[in-house]
Amino acid sequence: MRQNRSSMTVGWLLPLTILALTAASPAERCLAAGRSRLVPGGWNPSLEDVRTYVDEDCSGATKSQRALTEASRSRTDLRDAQLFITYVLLIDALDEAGRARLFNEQKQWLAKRERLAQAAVVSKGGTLEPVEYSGAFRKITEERLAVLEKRLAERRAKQKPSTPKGEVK
Amino acid sequence: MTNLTSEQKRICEQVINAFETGSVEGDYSCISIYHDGPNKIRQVTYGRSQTTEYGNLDELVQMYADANGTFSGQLRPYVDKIGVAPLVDDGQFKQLLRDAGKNDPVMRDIQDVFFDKRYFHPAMAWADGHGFTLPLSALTIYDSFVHSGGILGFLRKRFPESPPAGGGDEKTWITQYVAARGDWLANAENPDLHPTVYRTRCLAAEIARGNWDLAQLPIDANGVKVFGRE
Repeated sequence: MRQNRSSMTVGWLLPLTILALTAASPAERCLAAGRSRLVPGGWNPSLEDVRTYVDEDCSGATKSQRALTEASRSRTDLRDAQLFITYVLLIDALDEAGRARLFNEQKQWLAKRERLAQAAVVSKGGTLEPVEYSGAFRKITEERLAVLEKRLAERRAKQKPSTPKGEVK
Repeated sequence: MTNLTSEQKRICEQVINAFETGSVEGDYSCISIYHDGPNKIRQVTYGRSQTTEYGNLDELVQMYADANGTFSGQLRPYVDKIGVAPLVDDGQFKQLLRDAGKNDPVMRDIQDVFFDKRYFHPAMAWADGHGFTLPLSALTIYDSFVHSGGILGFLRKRFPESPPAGGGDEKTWITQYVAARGDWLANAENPDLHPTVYRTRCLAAEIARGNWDLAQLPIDANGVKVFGRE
């Protein structure tokens, strides 16, 4: 019986050891793959609460144009900062070639965003101009944010350790 | 529109001030810092007309320096730097602008002149050129010049009336224009424009009560009562 228990223990240990090795942290796997981590594991800052606060603060009461312009800019700055966070997390999850590709892609996209946001302005020289620019800038940024968030989620799903079928019950 | 009385002009200015700043007096000392300079760099935005560091702030400060205001001597050395070297983190420069806007009536007069030059005179020239004569028309057109930099061409295509110079009826044109502009602001793809519809609602309310000569006071401008007092 004791021998049986011992055999059972060994039988559990082996797949657990394999699992532990395959479940090495992304940082450890990065090091093993010869690339450096940029972001310590578990650090996932979020601006969602601030965004909710700003959205609630900006709605409801009637505001002057100056207040509306500042609110529009604040919302846009928040989305741009969220995009920056997501970009850094995604860069961190990529290998060197992937990082270079994303860097160039993002550089081109930034130039495109500026062009598109400028093109959305019709009230040139008026106090509505910065609001038109800011709203368009935010919309384009949110579209890009959705793309990068999807890629990041897919990347993280790939990096999750898979459980070998039938080995651990 | 040379037939505007000084009181009617003042009413127009106070309504616009209320729309823009929430106060009939306007805010002459306000400084904001935004990332809206060339290539998204930070820049100073200043005063009643929200003049920008890389826009026309050098012209405004030059006018003030030449007017011998309380802070003219201290601001004069900055004239050649504005728009050339970044001043967004220059605390002394920003404080001088704040102090001048807050404490020196000369700076306020200069800003009024500047605001008129930038918005009021072009708006009235447009109104004259198109045959408008009524004070409420002046306010409507002035509002569009401040808010949108002019009368937007695509909005004019959304309603049928011709301007008076083209044989149309002035009141009909203004009524249709305010409706078209209000519809655009309320339903624009950019949701940040929607709250600004308070401007056309105010103008529509004045049209509805027949206040074409701006004699019925106060005017409710986004919750601020405008009496046209000095």
